[in-house]
Amino acid sequence: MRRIGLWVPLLALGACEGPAGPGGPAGQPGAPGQDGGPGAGGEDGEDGEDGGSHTLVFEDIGVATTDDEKRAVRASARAWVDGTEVPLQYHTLVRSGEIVGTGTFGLLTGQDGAPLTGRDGSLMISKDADFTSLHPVGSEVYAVTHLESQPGGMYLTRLTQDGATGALVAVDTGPVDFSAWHGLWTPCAGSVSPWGTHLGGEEYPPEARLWDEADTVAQLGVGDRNMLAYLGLDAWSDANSDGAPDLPLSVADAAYNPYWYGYPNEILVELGGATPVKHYSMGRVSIELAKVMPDQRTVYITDDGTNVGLYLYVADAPGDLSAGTLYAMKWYQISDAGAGAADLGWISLGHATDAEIAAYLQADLRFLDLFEVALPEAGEESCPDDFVGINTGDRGRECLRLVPGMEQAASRLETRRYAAWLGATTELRKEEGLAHDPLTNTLYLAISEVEYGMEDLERTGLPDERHDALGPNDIRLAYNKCGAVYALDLAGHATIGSDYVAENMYAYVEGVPYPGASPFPGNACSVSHLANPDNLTFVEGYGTLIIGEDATVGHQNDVLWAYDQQTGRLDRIFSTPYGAETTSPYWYPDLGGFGYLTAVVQHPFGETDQLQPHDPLDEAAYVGYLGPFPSMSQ
Amino acid sequence: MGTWLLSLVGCLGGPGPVDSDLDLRTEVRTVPAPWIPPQCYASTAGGAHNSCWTCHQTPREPNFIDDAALQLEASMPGPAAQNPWTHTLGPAPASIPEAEVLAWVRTDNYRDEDGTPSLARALRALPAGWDADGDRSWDGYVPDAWLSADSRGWDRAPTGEPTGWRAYAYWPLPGAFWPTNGSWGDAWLRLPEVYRTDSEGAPSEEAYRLNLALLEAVVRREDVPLSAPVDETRHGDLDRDGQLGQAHLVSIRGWEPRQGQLLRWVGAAGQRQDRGELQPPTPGLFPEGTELLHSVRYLDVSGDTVRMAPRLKELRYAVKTRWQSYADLELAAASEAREEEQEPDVLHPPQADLERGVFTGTGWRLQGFIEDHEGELRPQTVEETSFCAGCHGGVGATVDSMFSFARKVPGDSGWRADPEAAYALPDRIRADGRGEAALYLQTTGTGDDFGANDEIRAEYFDAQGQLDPVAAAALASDLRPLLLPTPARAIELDAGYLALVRQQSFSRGRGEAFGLSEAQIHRVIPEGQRTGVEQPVLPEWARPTR
Repeated sequence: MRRIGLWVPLLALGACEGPAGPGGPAGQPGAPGQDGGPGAGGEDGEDGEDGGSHTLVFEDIGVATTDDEKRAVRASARAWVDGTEVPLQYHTLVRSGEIVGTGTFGLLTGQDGAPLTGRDGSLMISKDADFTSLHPVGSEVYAVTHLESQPGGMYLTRLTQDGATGALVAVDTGPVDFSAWHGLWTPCAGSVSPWGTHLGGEEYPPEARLWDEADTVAQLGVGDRNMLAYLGLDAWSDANSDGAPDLPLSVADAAYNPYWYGYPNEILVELGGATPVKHYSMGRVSIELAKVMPDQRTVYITDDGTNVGLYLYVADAPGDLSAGTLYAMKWYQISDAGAGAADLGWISLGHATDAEIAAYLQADLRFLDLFEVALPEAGEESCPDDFVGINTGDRGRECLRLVPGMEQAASRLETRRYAAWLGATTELRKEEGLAHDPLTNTLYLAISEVEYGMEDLERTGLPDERHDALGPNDIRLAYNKCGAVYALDLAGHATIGSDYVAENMYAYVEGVPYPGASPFPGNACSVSHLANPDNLTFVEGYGTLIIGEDATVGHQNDVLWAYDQQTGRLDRIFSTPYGAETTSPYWYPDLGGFGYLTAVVQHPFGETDQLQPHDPLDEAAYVGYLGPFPSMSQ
Repeated sequence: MGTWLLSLVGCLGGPGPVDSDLDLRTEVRTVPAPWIPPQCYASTAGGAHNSCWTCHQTPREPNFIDDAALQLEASMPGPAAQNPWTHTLGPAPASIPEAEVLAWVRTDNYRDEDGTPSLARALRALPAGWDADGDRSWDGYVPDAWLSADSRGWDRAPTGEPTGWRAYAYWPLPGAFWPTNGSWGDAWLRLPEVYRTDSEGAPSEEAYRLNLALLEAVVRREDVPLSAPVDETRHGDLDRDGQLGQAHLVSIRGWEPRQGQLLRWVGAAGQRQDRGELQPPTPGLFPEGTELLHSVRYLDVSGDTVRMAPRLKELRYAVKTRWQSYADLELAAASEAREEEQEPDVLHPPQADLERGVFTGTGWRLQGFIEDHEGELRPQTVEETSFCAGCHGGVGATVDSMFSFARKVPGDSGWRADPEAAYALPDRIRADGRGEAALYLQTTGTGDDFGANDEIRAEYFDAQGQLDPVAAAALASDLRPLLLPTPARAIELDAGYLALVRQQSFSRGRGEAFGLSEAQIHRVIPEGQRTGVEQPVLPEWARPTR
C-alpha cells in the first residue's frame, strides 16, 4: 500500500526543472495546527512509478485576499510542461442565458420541447451549469453541458477550434432532448467514456418512499414540484387561495414516477445532434458520476449525500453499458488515523439489463411494491422480526422487508437501500469526484466532508447515533469538515471478472481544519490545504491530480488545485468569486492537437448597485476552459 | 493578520458628535449564524406556544420557500444549534434611572440642529474605521429622508421639496414589532425617479401616486381604491375592466402574462416598460430600485400614554438591486432546498460588506445603522447587518422578501406617518375571518415570541391561561390597548436596550428579552424534535375550503 500519510504543507518547490513560478501570496497562513497523532504516516516510499517521465507545474495564484480578488474568476497565467513555459488563460465558452446561434444556453424546456416559463412569463434559465464534456466529431467539436437544476437539462454546444491557437469558440447551442426518458433530474458531474460518449448522472433523485407517503402535492419537495412542470403540470398554482396547490396528488402521481430519475445517462454525440440513453441497469442512486475504466467494462459510480454507498458495475461487453452486474462496497476498516483506511469487499446486487428494468418502470412499480416497512423499535435501535434495519440517505433509519421476488427490481430502483439490506456499507458522506491513473491503476475519490455516517456514533464531532443506528457502523473515523481525497488501489478480481476492482481505500490528501477560530474569516479550513474536495481529474503521464473544491465553509473562494504527486506540492490554479462553485474540471490531453482543462463557475452571485445598469449575466454560470495546452497525450 | 482588527483607527472625520474612532471593518463573526434571530430559539412549550408562523409559512408564488414545516419540527444547522443570543438568557442589565432613560430617548439622534441627518454628515466625512475599501467614499446608503411627512405621507425637506420617500401605515408583524415588546417603528418607501415622472418627462405627483397604487395592488394582491376617480384615457386601464373610463380603483385582475395579459406602469415608467427597459408591475414583486426605510425607535412616555421617541435605535434600509423573475426564484428555491437537504449542517453566510450591507440572494441589499455607545448612529458591522438576512429572503411569509408593505393599511388613508395614530388600527382580519393579533395571542399565550410578556398575560389571559374573550374581542376595533405597553414597561424596555447600547454588545442580542427560563428559550435547539404544534397556522391570505 502506498500510503502517503498525512500531507504536510510543502511550500518549497520540489524537484522539477521548471521555474518556481511566483508562488507569492501563499504563505500568510498561520501554522495550520497540529493534526493530532497521524500515526506512522509519511512513508512515501515506492513512488517512482507515478508521473512517468513528464512534469507539469502550474503557477500558483495564491489565496484571494483583496475584495477584488474575492469577486473575480482568477486563473494561473502560466504552467511549465516538461520545463517549457505555456501561457494559460481561462476562456469562457458560454454563459447561462447567452444566445448562441439558434439557442439560449441554459433555457430549460419541457416534455413538449417548449421553453419552461414562470407564471410571470419569465424564461426558466438554469444558472447551474455543471460538468461539460468536449467531443471531437469529424471536423467539429461539441460540448455537452449539464444544467444541475430541477428540472434538469443538458445543452449541446457546437464549437469551432482555431487550428493555430487552439482557441475554442461557441457557435450554436440547443437542448438535448430527454423527452423519451421523462426528462432529466439534476445532472451533476460526469465523465467521458473511453469510446467517446458523454456519461452523466442524475443526482439526489426524488425519494420514492416520500411519494408513497404524501397526501398532498405540497408535501412533495420543491424539486418534485418543479419536475412536474417539465411534464406540463402546475404544482404551484393556488387559484382558490386556500393555501394548498390546486393540483391533486392523484393527478401528479398518475403522471409521474420517482423511479424515472436517478440513473447514469450516456450521450452519443454525432454531427448535428446528441442522443441520450438512461442506463437503468447501472442502478439508481444519487449519482455524482460514473467513470469507466480502461477495460471499457468496469465502471465506478459515486453516490452523493448522507449515508451513501460506492458502486461497481461490470458490463457484460466492452463499450456497452446496457447490461451488467452491479456490486456495492463493503468497508473493512483497518485504520482510523486521519481520514482512515480500509480494505474493501464487493457485494453483488445481481445482473440486470436496461430493458429488464424498463419493464418494471412500465409496470409503474413504486416503493411499497418493493419493500414492506415497519417502524423501528426500542428507541429506534432495532427492527421487528423479519425486518432488516438499514440506515441510508436522508431518510436514515428504516426497517424493511423485501417483497418476495423483487430482488432485481429493488437492486436497480432502490439500489442504495437494497445494498444496505444485503449488508453493504452505506455510511459514506458527500462522495464526489473520481479520477483514474492508468499508470499505477489507482482510483482517486473525493469525500467532501468526513462526517455523519463516516464518524463513530457521532455527528460533526458530537455524540449522536442517528447516522449509525440500525446500520453496521463499518466506518468509524474522526470528523473532518474539510474532507479528503482517497486513493483506491485497483487489481484483478477473478470472481468479479475485472482487472479494475478496488481492494482498498485510504486517505491520500486531506483538508485541515483550523483548530480554533479561523485567522481568515470565511475560511474554516487551512487556506494552504484543500477544503471540501469535489470534482477530480487526472493528468495522465504527468502525475498531476486536479482537485476542485465545493467549499461552502471550508474556503471562502473555491479553488482548483493541482496536486503534483512527485513533489507533494499543491498549487492553486483557478479560483471562483465567492458564493460560486468551481465544477467540472476535466482534462483533455489532446483534442485537435491541443490540451484543455475544462472548468465551470457555477452560481456566481452577481452584485450590482442600483445606480449601475444591471447585467443579467452577472449571476450566470461560466462554462469555459483553462488552456490551451500543447498536446499532452500519452 | 488578526491584531489590526482590534486596533483603533485615529479620528479622521470632521467635527461632529459621531464617534468615528470605531473601527467597524472587522469581518470576524462572533456567532456562527447571526442571521438566525433569537425568536428561532424560542421554546414552543410542547406546542402551547407557536409564534413560528409569523415567518415560517406556506408561501405564495413567487415566494417558493415553503418552510411551514418549521412550525412542527425544530431544525437548525449544527453550528447554529447553540443559542448565541446570550442576552436573552442572562439577567436584565442593572437598571438605569428613569430620568436618565427619558432624557436619552427624548434626544433626537437622527437630525443635527439644522435638521440635516447627522449620519449623512458623518458618512460624507467618512471616518477611516468605516471605510472598508479605503477609497474615502461610502458605497452604501446615505440617509436622505427627513422622516418628516405631510398629511399624505410625503416626506418633505425643510424647503417643502418632496424627497420621494412616502410613509405608510401598516399592521406590525405580530410579536417583536409591537411596541409592547420593545420598539416603535415607522416605514417609508420610495420608487426610482422614473416612476415619479409623467409621460412628458416632468416630475409628477399624480404619476407617482398611481404607480404607488399599482405597487400596492401587486404586493397586496388586492384592488386598491383610489380616493378620486382617475381618467384612464391618460393612464391606461387601471381598473382592468377592459375599458378606458374613470378608474375608482387599481386592480391586477386578469393578469396572465403567458396569455399576453400584463399590467402597465403609469407615465414615464410605462413608456420605459413599453420599450422593454422596465419590468411590468408583477404580482408579488417590487420593481428594481425600490427602497424601503424603517426607523426603529425607543418608546417615550407622556403621562399615561406611550408614544414614539425622537431617538432611533436603528435605521434599516433596503434597496432592490436585482430583478428576480418567478422563474429565477423558483429555480433558486429548488437549488437552496437541495443544498439544505444535502448539507443540513452547512451555514450559508449571506454576502455582506460594511459599506453596502448584506445581499439577500433574492435581489435585495439590506443595510442597518445602529447607535454607537454614545448614541450616535453608525453603520452596522458585517456581523450586525447580517442579522437582517434571515427574515428577509429566507422564509415563506414574506412578499418579495419584505414584510411591512404587504401589511399596509389599504388605499390612500394608508399613506401617512402620524405617530399619534400609528397603532390606532382595528385588528387585521385574515382571509379565514380571524383577527390576526387575537390569533397570535391564542397561539402564544402571552403576546410575544418568548412567552415572556407578563403584562399582556395579565391583561388578556385568566389564571388558567385562557384568553379573555371580552378583551380579545375589543381588538377588533382598536389594537392600541394590546400593542402599547404601560409607561412603566416602556421605560423598563428602553433601559434594558440602553444598557446594551452602552456595552455595544449587539452580537449577543438587541434587547428582545432578558432572563428567559429554559421553558421559554432553548439553550440548544433539540434538532429534529417535534415542536408539539400539531396543526400549522395557515398564512393570513389562505381561505380554507373545508
